[in-house]
Parts: sequence; structure tokens; C-alpha cells
Amino acid sequence: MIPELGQLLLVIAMVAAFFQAFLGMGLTKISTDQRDRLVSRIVTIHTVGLFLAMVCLGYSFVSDDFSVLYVALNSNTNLPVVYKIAAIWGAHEGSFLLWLFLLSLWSFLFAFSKKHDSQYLDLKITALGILGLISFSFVLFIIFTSNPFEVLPNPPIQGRSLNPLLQDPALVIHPPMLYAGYVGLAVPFALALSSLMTSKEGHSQFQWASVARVWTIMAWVFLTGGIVLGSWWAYYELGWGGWWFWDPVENASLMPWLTATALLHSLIVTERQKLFNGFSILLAIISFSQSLLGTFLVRSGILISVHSFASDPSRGIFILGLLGLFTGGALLLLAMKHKKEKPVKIDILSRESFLLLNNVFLCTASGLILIGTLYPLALEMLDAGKISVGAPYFNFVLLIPFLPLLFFIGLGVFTSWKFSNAKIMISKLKWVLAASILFSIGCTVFLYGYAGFLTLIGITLAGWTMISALMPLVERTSINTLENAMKILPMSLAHIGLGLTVLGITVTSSYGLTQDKSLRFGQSTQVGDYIFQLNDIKEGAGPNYFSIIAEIQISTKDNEITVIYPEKRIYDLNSPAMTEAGIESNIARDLFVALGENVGDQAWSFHLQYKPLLRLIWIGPFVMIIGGLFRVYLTRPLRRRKLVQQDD
Amino acid sequence: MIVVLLGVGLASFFVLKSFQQNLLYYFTPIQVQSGEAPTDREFRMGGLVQPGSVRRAEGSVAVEFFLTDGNVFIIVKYNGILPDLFREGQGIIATGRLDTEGVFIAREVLAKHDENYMPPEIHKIKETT
Repeated sequence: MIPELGQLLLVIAMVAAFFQAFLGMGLTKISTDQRDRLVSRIVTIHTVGLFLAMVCLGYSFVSDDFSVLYVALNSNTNLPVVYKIAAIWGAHEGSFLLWLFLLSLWSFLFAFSKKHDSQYLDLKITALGILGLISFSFVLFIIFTSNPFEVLPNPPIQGRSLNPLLQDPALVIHPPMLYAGYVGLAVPFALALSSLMTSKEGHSQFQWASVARVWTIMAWVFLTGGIVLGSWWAYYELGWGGWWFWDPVENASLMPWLTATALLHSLIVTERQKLFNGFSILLAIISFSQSLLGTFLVRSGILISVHSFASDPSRGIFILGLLGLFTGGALLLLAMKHKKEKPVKIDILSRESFLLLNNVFLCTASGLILIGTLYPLALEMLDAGKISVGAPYFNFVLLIPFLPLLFFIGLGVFTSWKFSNAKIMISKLKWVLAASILFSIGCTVFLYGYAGFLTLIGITLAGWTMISALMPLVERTSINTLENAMKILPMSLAHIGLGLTVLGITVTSSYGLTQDKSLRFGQSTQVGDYIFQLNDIKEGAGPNYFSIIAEIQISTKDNEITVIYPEKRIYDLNSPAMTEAGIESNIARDLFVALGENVGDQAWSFHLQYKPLLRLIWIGPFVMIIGGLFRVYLTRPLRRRKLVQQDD
Repeated sequence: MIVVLLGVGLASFFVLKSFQQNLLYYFTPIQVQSGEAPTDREFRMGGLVQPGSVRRAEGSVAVEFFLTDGNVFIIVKYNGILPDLFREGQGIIATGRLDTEGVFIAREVLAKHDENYMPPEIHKIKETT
């Protein structure tokens, strides 16, 4: 009964999405006001329909209804309830349903956001129409190729287990976060197209930018959060102690993140200075295309990847078709409808030129990742041999856009719109430069030691980024009110977050230590300043697994630090054990121990790591997220109130 | 203008060079045996772990096993922790280089990730055996 209801709800959502597209894009001759009312209602039906479909699937999971194929494949009666719910997005069909539901949720929030007064109405409804079209295509995709409500005629008594790797708290929220980021980029995409379709010559063609900015930031916040959670999960769960593998699936999330970052900076220029409108539209198109590309890469199973799970070529071709359709259609629309902008002379020392420059660097970075990710696939398709592009390519090649990017971020902060005074800039920048060099020398001399010129550059640039972002906040001349500080705060936080991340990456990769070692009881080994001693190996049990637990004592020469318990979990006798690493961390360093196996002679193998400043890699993005949220929830209302006051 | 062009040119040169250097080619054991694989640089080799071939140095992390495509096998030596999913008869991909005796010295060993996923190359090997 319930799966049939879910099916029915999907069909309802499909019909609603169709009408949302039809009415929204103005294919009928009714008045704008009427369209607005109708579209808002349809969006509600569409969203509620998909939400209830999610609830139906969730109910099937929680009630162990193994007549539903998807439930039988991904859940069993022994699974804790939290993971039964998370199993909704544990595999292909359900994760697409989630993807779709989140898309409708963004449309819903967009349809009912207060910002839109009458002059935005046409822009907004048309954008909702485009969102409806995207939804419609993907409901079709789900119904025809990936139906989560497919019913088995002879249901099994017990279901298969959910991949134990996925039974983890971070993985409960990682996919929803990441998907929310991916599909959130559909909103600026829809707004950009809507602007091309509706705007007349002149002022109105820039309106979309101010609306799109907030939505881009929100999508970007979710995307950032999703990527960080994924990286954190990989670190403690995959058992290798690495935090980024340049796996195509990770690249698939990093590429839209880089272009979305470019987009949200470009929108600032378009909104404030009425410049780069075409470039912003292009970035909005590219960002969403890369979201779709990411979905395609992850879900089509064409990758040689440690992440790719389900595979079925027909699905891949369907998504690729939609990717081609939306990207191609959008680019065509841009080529046909974009109104030539008046040529403007831009001073090189202006904020707009620095933002443009850095957006080009961000796009370059995204492009370089794209090449490294797709080239092996292309070669394979042409039967020209099998290759993979290793981490060294990415690690090296990304320095080319990122080193100048970080340098220009520091410069850009001290520019003004239109024209900047070079003398004033230099007088401020020399202090920033001096401070960052001091910071770098300090880190090298007092903390970590010299580890190559590139490390020194990395630390200096991290300092440069952070100090330049802090300067406008502490400078007394330009900041005299709390309100002014609030305006700068989001930018400062985001740039400080970036600086922290760069610092973490540089220090961890330059000074981190790794050791694979076998230990007997009572034996110890030293990694850096830390001594790891194996005290004991015990057996334990959890709700649906049993485990082997090692007791490792960590100490330095003078102090005992802690005892950690790396584990090997066995969820199911037929599948191999899972590593649960033992981690002792503080802001300064991470100590990581993964238990290997019994290597005979009463010895066990261990993977040991010392990683200084590793946490900054995740704290940095977290600070960026706070910056983004500040912009949306604190700074924006402030600005709007001010506008109202000016009107009075 | 010239500076920009020079910069872009130089950057492209480095990108291409790095691309060339960091491509890892993939070979099967039979290709390695017939001498198709390079001896002067790293590459990846995929196949199944020959059942009964895994040998350890007692009490150490050094391990040695045969990687097979069903017909021929190559000896692989690895000094480190093996992935959770490493088992005899299992498909794996090893990254490393050949030593002078034709033994593959692995720097990294990846196993297939769960029951549903298998690297495409390994899938092909399984089908042909």
C-alpha cells in the first residue's frame, strides 16, 4: 500500500512540475498576477508531494517492508533506526529522490521568499518555470530508470545489509548537505536564464544578480559543508588517514564549488557596478552544469573510483542527455539573447578588475581539475589505453592558479570600486606583507623547521590572506561604526577561513609523518616526538557488529598523553572487516592509528600518523560557512533596513 | 600584454609537463610479462590476488603475493598496511614500479570497495577468466 502511494506521489509531483514549467515560462496567455498565484500553489503541491514520497520511502525502511526492492537491497531488521532513515539516500534510487526533493524545496523557498516585489515578479515566475522544467526531467528520470518504489512479488524475509562504510553519523548528513549544495545552484542558473528571457534593455537586466547572490551564497554554504563532511568522513572512516584523494567523485564536488565561488564574487560586481553581466550568467550556467556533471560522474558508474557504487549505463546516458540539454540550451540562450554591454574602461587598480582576475583563476583551477578527471575517461572511451591521473598532477598543477589567486586576494581587499589610490594601497600593503613574512618565519623557526621554499611560500600566503582580511576590521580610519564592521565581516571571515585552510594544507603536507609498523604487546614505536605503545588487543561488540580493539598508549618523552582504541569491525561474516581508526586530536596536531591485521608471531600491523594543523583544513571551511551565513542573515537585513530608511 | 602571454605560455607548459609526468598507465599481468609496461616509471597493475599466494614476513608489515589475470602472474611486494578488502581471490589495483628482477614493488594497494563496486578493469578480468 505505502509503496504504491509513494509511486502515486511521484506521478503527482511530475504533473505539478510539468505545470510549474508550463505556466512559469509563460506559455499561456494569463496575467502575471494570476500566474504568480497559480505557480506558487503548484510549487507547494510539487514540494509536498515529493516530501511525502520521501516519508513513504522512509516508512518502508523503518517498518522493514522488504517487498520494496530498494529497501530489501539496502536495509535489514538489525539496522539501527537512524541508519534505516539514512539508508533512504544510501544508494542510487533514493539519493536521486532526495536530490529531487531538495530541488523542489529550494524552489519552494524561492517562491515564497519575501524579497520579490512586483518588479521582480516576471523574473521570479520564469525562474520557477525553469526550475519546474529541471524537476520534471528528473522526475521522469526517476520514474523510468530509478524507481525507488519498485515492488518485489516475493519479498525476502530479511534484507541485505547497508554498506557498513555508510553506517556513520557524518554520512547521515553528508549526502543531504552536498546535494542541497548541488541543486541549490539550480536557483542562480534559473535566475540567469530567466533574466535572459524576460529582461528588457537597460536597468532590468541586472536585477537577477541581486536576487541570485543570496541563493548562490546559500548553495555555496551547503556545498562547502558537504565537501568538508565528506573529507572528514574519508579521514576517519576509510582507514588511510588521508583527507583528500583526488578521487573523481571528490573532484566532482570541488569543481562546482570553485565556479560557484567565482559566481558569488562576480555577482557582487554585477549587482553593485552593473558590470560583467554576461560573465556572471555564464558562471551561473557553468556552476549548475558542473553540478549535473558531478551527478553524472557519481551516478553513472563510469569512473575508476573508490567511491562509485551502483552502475547502469542507461541511467548514465539519460543524465548525460539532460546535462547536454540544459547546458547547451542555456548557452544557446545566452548567445542569442544576451544584450551587449556597453564597453567600459576599467582601471587595473580597481576592485572589479581584481575580482575578475581572481574569478578567472578560480575557473582555471576548476578547468584543470576537469581535465585531470575527464581525460582518463575520454582516452578509455576512445580505446587509447587506460591511464589515471595521479594526485601529483593535481597537487602541482593547482599551484599555478592558486598562488596568484591568494596573492591577489590580499591585494584586492585594499582596492576600491572604479579606481584605487596606489600610494595608499602600498602604504597599507607593506605592513601586511611584513606581518605575513614574520608569521611565516616565526612558524618555520619556532615551530616546524625549514621544509623547502614552497612550504615557506604557502605559509606566507596563508598569513597574507588572513592578515589582509583582518586589516579592514581593525583599521580605525575606515571603520567607525559597528555597522561598517558588520558589512566587512562576511568577507573577512570567508577570507580568514581560506587562509586557515591553506595553512592547514601546507603544514600538514609538509610536516606530517606516516609509518606502517608491526607491533607486539608492550612494543612501541616513535613517530616524530610521539611514542605509540601497544598495550593490549581485546574483543568487543556493538549493536550489529563485533570487533577487535587495540589499546594504544601515546606518550611523549616527558608526558603520557592518552590511550586510544583503534578497531576492526566485522559487520557480517561474509564481508571483510572495517577499520575504525583511533584518533587523538587537538588544534595543533592529529595523531592517527589504524589497526591492520594479525601478521603472525603475535604481532599486529598498524598505520600511524602525526599530522600537524590537520584540523585547520576543516575549521577553515567552517569559518567560511559562518562568513556566508553572516552575509545572508545579518548583513543583508541590515542593508535592507538602511535602504528603507533612505527611501523615507 | 607580452607579460601576460608569457605567463600563460609558461603556465601551460608546466601544466602539460606535469600532466605528462603524472599520468599513470594501467597494465594487466600479461602485458607486464610481455614487457609492455615501462621499467623506468610508475604504473598501475590490476588483477586478482592468487589464492594461497599471500606470504608475510612473520611479525612485520612486509607482504608478498601473486597478482594474476587468470593466465600469468606477477610477484608483488608491498611494505605496508593492506586495505580492509584485500583478500585472496579478490580484485585489486597496485601502483608501483618493476624492479630489475621483474618483481612489482607496490607503493599503494587498492582493493575493490564493496560488494557492488569493482573497478571496471577488474570486472573485465573476471569476465574473461
